[in-house]
Amino acid sequence: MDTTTPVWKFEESVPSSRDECESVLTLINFALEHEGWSDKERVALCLCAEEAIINAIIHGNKGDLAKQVNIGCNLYNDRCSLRVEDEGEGFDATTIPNPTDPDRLHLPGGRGVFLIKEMMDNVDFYKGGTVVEFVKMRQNA
Amino acid sequence: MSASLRYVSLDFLTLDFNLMSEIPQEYKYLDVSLVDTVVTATLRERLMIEGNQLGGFNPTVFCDELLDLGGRIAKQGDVRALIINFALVERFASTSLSAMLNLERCLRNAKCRLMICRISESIFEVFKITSLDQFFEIFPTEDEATQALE
Repeated sequence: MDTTTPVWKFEESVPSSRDECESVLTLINFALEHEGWSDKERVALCLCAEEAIINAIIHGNKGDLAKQVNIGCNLYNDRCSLRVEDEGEGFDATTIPNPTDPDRLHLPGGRGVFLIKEMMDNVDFYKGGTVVEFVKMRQNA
Repeated sequence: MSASLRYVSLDFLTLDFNLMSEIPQEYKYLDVSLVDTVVTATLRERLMIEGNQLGGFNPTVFCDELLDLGGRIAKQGDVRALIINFALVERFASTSLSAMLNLERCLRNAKCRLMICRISESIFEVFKITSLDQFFEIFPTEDEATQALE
């Protein structure tokens, strides 16, 4: 089984708009479905993609429509890798409080990065936090 | 697209009229019904527009509608519980979780219970990972949620 050549890939820069990014999420969802990924894996990947994109729009680009979010997805036979980059100032992902702490449980917000780290197999932040890249290995590949 | 409204008993006609007439007929993502003093909202993630076409999901509108419904229920003041049915929901990101938490706080202040039912395994995973499965009342079915109110 070839695990070096993507069976599907996508890369595009879109404005910092939820509507534009929703189209990208739909595309990624369809690609995963088409390649036969399980519902559980597909939902996890799309959710983490959405979290990364929302963070890029709101926290990275501060909702500035003039700023772009670059989204890349490489789908292999045995894994899926996603990359999201914003034009913001970056942040330190290690300083985000744990949202499952009992005194933080009721607080809205602060769960996006946590979900990505918990649901994906590998997560890395680059360029001062303006780039997040994560990988999900496919079960029963 | 109109919300589906069901009236079970004429005894509650006054309540029905007051609350249900206030609920927008054009919620895009909620089908709302009132039984006794319990409001049930079925979340529809996928839009059907112009016949069979699927519309795009707008999480901001989705969250706004949840909070709007919560505000109306809180204003009404005599609704025992809001049961949210997730049967038609495939995606549920943290922004929607935030909306649920804001909704819960709004309803708690109005002494109204927030109950969730028919969550898929994938979405329940999100609640579990974030430990919110211990925070929200989650039931397998709408009937079991209703029975928990007895």
